[in-house]
Amino acid sequence: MTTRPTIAGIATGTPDGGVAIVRLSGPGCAAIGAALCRSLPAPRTAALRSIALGDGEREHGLVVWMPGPGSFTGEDVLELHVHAGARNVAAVLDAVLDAGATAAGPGDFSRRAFENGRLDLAEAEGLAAIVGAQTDEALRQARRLAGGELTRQVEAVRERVVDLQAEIEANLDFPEDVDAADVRRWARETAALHGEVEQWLRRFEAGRRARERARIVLAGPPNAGKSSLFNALLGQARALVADVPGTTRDYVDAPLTVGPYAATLVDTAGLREGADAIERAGVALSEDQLAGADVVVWVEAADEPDAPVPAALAQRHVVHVETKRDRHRRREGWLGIALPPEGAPPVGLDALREALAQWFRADGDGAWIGLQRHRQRAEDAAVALVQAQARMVDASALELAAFSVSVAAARLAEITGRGAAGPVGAEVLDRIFARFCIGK
Amino acid sequence: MTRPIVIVVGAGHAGLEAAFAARRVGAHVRVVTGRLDTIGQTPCNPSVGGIAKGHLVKEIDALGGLMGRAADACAIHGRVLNRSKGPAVQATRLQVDKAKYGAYVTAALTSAEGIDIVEGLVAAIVLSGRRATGVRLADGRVVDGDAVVVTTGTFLGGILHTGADKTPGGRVGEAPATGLSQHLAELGFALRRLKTGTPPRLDGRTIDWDRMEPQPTEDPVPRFGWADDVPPPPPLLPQVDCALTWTNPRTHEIIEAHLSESPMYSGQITGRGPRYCPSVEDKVVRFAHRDRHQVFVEPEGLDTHSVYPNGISTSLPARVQAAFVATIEGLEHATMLRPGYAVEYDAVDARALDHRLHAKDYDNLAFAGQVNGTSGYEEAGAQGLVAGANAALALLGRAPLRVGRDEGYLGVLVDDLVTQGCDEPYRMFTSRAEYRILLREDNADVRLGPIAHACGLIDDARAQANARRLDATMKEADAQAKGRETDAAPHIRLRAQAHRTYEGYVDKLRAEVARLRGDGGADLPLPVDLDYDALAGLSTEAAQRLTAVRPSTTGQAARIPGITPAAVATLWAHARRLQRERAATG
Repeated sequence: MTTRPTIAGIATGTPDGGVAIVRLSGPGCAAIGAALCRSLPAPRTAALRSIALGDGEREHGLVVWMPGPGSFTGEDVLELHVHAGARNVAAVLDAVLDAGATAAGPGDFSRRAFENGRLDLAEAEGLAAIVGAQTDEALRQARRLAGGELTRQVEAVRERVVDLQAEIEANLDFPEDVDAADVRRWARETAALHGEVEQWLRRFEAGRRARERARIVLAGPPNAGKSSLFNALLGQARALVADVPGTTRDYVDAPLTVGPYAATLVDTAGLREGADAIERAGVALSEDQLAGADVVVWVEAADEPDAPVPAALAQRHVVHVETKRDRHRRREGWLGIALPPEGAPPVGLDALREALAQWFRADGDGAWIGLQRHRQRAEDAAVALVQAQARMVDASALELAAFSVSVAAARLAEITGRGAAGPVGAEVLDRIFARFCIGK
Repeated sequence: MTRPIVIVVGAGHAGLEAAFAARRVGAHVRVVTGRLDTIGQTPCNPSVGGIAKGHLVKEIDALGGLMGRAADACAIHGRVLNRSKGPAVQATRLQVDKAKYGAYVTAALTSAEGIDIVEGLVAAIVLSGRRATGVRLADGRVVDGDAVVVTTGTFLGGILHTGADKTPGGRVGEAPATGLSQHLAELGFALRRLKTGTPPRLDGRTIDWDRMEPQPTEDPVPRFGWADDVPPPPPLLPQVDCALTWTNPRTHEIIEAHLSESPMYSGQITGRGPRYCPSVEDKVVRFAHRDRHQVFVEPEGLDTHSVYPNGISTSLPARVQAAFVATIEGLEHATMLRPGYAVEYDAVDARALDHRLHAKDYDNLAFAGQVNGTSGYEEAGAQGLVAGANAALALLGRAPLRVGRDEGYLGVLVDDLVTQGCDEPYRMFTSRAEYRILLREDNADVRLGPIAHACGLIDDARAQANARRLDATMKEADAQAKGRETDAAPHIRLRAQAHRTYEGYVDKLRAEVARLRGDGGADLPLPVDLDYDALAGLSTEAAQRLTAVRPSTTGQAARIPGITPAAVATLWAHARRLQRERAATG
């Protein structure tokens, strides 16, 4: 009775690989498979079949038949493992389309998996993140997202939020059947839930640092040895170094690896007043770099007086470094760097690397993937929980507190993409009737 | 011009409101009822209103209906529930003298000009093609008309159960409508078997009132009508006290020992009962950890000794009922006037109806009240008003009466019914209303008065009274905001306070609901004949659920049980495409 189309697409097969997989999903899989291959193998076993192509030719390949709903998409799925090569794969795909399938668009298979409840939104985003991962840490986090780790935690907290909502709603709708409003306990529970969401937000931030290519900006007064430090961190002479103040005019950047983390290291012009027009332009660029920095390594030389600190530094994570310690020592608590004669690595560089790695690790426990969408929903939920708690002083604003709690529950449901639709109040009423004896 | 004729089948709460609404809009009305002496009965609890239900009564009143006025005229006890909470969830509940209530509404019906009453049992709808043109009675007579509103309550295939005794009937002593049930099935309406119940009635003279906690009426007695109504509210009857007592472990022991004799547990009853109004058998079984359940002891009238023990609805055999009642403090020596019973009945799957409560597949055929699967006088009355008014409006070629979910509980009720149907008897709760803080008792006239006036449900004098009341309220709100003392009437002060309490939340609420609906904030129309199976991007399950309802808008689609946000997004995209195509061609 359903006319939902069967989709087909090339699931994998790089041009220089040996095998490509043409994948189909939908109710027509069995019929198309039978038409092209004469018979289908037993479910979930691979078997060699001769596949009829349009022009009377035949292709030999492994065929895997995975009837729904236990498949990736939740529908019948058929895979044809055929010889790679653009022309051959196109011929197989043509035969499949001629037999009644529709060409799949980008993300169509994942979309069907989502619609059929085999995958929730966060898990689907995890799959996309796996494909797009550019660092090992990003891949690790994406796998956990696709594996449902975020979904499970969000769902656990959302459960508690909806339980709280059910208690409050029961009190609003059935005051004669349930105990008196326990506003204090509800306020405590709301605060605890808010704490959970705030904890996620911190882990999201840690995850973002670990995953994304952070900008580490070297800045400080002229002739402090920033470019020497830049080259030393990179292990190559990338920036021009001279013992003349104002040598660096433009900024220079290069990729840097800090343990397992990827970063971009930026060397900037020394910050000072005056000098010529070109150097002033360089200083302006440095200030832009400071504004966009994740970490600022603020460098001053041990044999120079304290330099004025730019205002932009107040909002940044700053690692203080004193160079030329081989000549002098002025600033307590700063990381010291001594530049030995040409060729040998500077003393104190490992301590600086460790300080940078510490920033990446942030709060330490569980760097977590929180895509921007997840972060926004979690922030909204946190705000709604704060508002709810503020209204839980006595029962007089309970219906407004209930509104805020429901907003929090809705935002959490949006992270997983489930549970927001359906009859109004049904989920809460189900919980009320399961838990309370209603019926005056 | 001859007036079109609307036939109303049944004269319960739905039938009465349907008849008066159709009449006020301008139709001639024929009410067909099984017995003239049981018009407007209150066969279950003696109260009208309560949380979310009081809201419905205020809305019925704002739409020119009967229920609020009848309850005000017959109240013998009244309270405002949720006093400690915000005005949006405060609700009026009046207990009425049942005999006086029945007499009041009977007098209203029989004295109404333009309403005829026919005594008889309806067996079939008379159709001309797919248009309803009358009803055929069990004795073969035919009542002619132009539209039919079916409000048969629990009478469709009704069976009363007390212990192992089964009696066909819709209420005690009244025959059921078995033929009509089968006839509706033949017309293609899906029927559901539902169940509800009622407690035994006790003789008030044999109750030891001093041993129970008294529940006095409030002073002043709350009312559904405003003091400045046109015409003013009816005078008050004398007030009585109710009382509160509790079941105890001995009560529960007796019930448990005889569970197998309850038709609910013996398998004799197959219909689904409401979770919010369980029988005392259910309470004892499902909440076994509780050693007591409350029982509100409510007199049923001033001139009767009959008392309604609210909270112990049961279908156990009469002798078991007598035994467990005697274990309850204050009821040890109470005489049972009549045993409690359960009633099983057929309800129409309301997903076959549109938002006017008219059948999608027939013309001029509407259904309202318990027959649509609801429970409660208030839910029934509200539907009757919608179905009756719309029957007349359609015949007169005028725009339908449609109340949105953001305009009234009445809108929530109708939309929920036609979107969800029901697996259990449906009762209104405030948690069903996403616009709860907008839908207050105190502003029902502001929300619905203009709609009522436009449909002809209220006259000019009443509309003007509404306008004056609103004007006074806004002036008072302004004065309160400036900290200025006024001599405004108490109800105007309260309305102004409520308005100010929620004023700042209205926009936030609307934005949130639009977002929840997942439809980009716009509620787009969907064609009734849309082929969901052919719509790319919908799962098979979603397509089936949508086909069962045939929603009229994307917003309604989003409220169908089991519909996912992904399916809503797909529908919304399709609806927008249709809209653009229409704009391009039209």
